[in-house]
Amino acid sequence: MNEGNAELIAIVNGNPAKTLDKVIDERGLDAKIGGLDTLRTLLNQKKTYLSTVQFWANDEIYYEFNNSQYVSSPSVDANILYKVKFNASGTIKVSAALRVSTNEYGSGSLDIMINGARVVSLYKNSRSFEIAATTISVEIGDVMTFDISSPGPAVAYLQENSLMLLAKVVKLSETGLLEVVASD
Amino acid sequence: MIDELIAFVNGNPVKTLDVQIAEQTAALGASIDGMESGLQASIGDMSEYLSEYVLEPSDEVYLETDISYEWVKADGNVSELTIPGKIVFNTSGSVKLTFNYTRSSTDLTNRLYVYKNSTQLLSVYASYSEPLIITDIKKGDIITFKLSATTNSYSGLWLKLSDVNVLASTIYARTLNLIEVTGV
Repeated sequence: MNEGNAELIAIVNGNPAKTLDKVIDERGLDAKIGGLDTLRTLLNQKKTYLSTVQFWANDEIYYEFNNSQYVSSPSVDANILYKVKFNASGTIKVSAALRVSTNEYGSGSLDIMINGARVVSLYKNSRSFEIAATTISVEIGDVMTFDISSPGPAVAYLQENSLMLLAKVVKLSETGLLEVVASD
Repeated sequence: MIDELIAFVNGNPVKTLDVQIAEQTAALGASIDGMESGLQASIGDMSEYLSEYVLEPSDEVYLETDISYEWVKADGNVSELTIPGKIVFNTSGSVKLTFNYTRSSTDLTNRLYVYKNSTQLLSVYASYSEPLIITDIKKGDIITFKLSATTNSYSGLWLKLSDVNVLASTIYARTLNLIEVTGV
C-alpha cells in the first residue's frame, strides 16, 4: 500500500487494524437496549412493593363475625362455619369470649386452624365468659377455620358476637421504620 | 489496490457501510420506540394502580358542590327542567348525597329528580330531606338534577335547591378485600 492510500485510510478509519463494519457491529447497542427491560422489571417490583399491604395485629377490630353462640357437646367439637381466606399476609389477632359448663375437667378451647391444620388454641377454664386472644401469622391464600372443643364431659361455649379479628392494615413501606440493635 | 483499501475499511464489502449503518439505525430505532412505549405504559399503569382510592358513604363532607337553583312562579311552569351543574365521578364506590329542597307554599305541585347517568335515582317533593345513598358508582358516572314545578296559584311562589353535598370517606383501594369470609 502506498503512502497516499494509508493516509486516506487513516482519515476514514483511525484504527485500520479494525475495519469499520467490525466497529459498528461491536457497539453492542442491542444488548444495551435490551438491558432497559430490566427497568420495566424494576418498575413492576416497585409497583408491588408500594401497593402491598399487610395485616399488623393490634387491638383495632378489623372484622367482626357477629357470630351466634356456639356450644360444643362433650367430647364432640363444634365446627364453626366461618372460613376466612386471606388476600394479604401479616399478623392478626383472633379474639373470642369462652366459658365452660364446669371447670372441673379443664379448659374449653377455640381451636384455630390454618389450611386445615390446628396452629393454636384459645383456652378458658371459667364458668363465666372471658375473653381470650392470640396473635398468629398468615400468608396470602391461607384459609382460617375454627372449632370449639370441650374438656371431657364438660360443655364449652363461644359467646355470641365475640369472635373477631383484630389488626390494622399497613403498607409494606410503613414497616421496618425502626429496629432494635445490640448496644455497643 | 482499491479492493485492498475497501477491505481495510469494510470487512463485509458485499454490504456497504451506509447500508449497514442504516439497517442498524432502523432496528435500534424500532427497539427504542418499543421500549419507550412499553415503559410509558408501565409507568401509567403503575401510577393509576398506586393512586387508586374509592369512595365510601360517611358523615364527612367530601365535596360541597355549588349546585343550586331557585324557581319562582314568575319563571312559569317547568317540567323536568335540567338544573345547571352536575357531579362527575373520577373513581368508583358509593356516596351519600345530601341537599336542601324547600318551597314557599304547599300550593305548588313540584318534583325534584336525581339521575345517575340516565337512570332516575330519586323523585321527591319539596321538604324531603333524607340523604340519598348512591351505590355502585363507576368512574365516569354523572349525577344530574331536574325540577318540575306547576301552580295556578298567585305569583311569588318559589322552590329552592341548595346545599348539595357529597358525603364520603376515601379508602385506599389496595386495602380492600383483604379477607373473604364465608359461612356468615
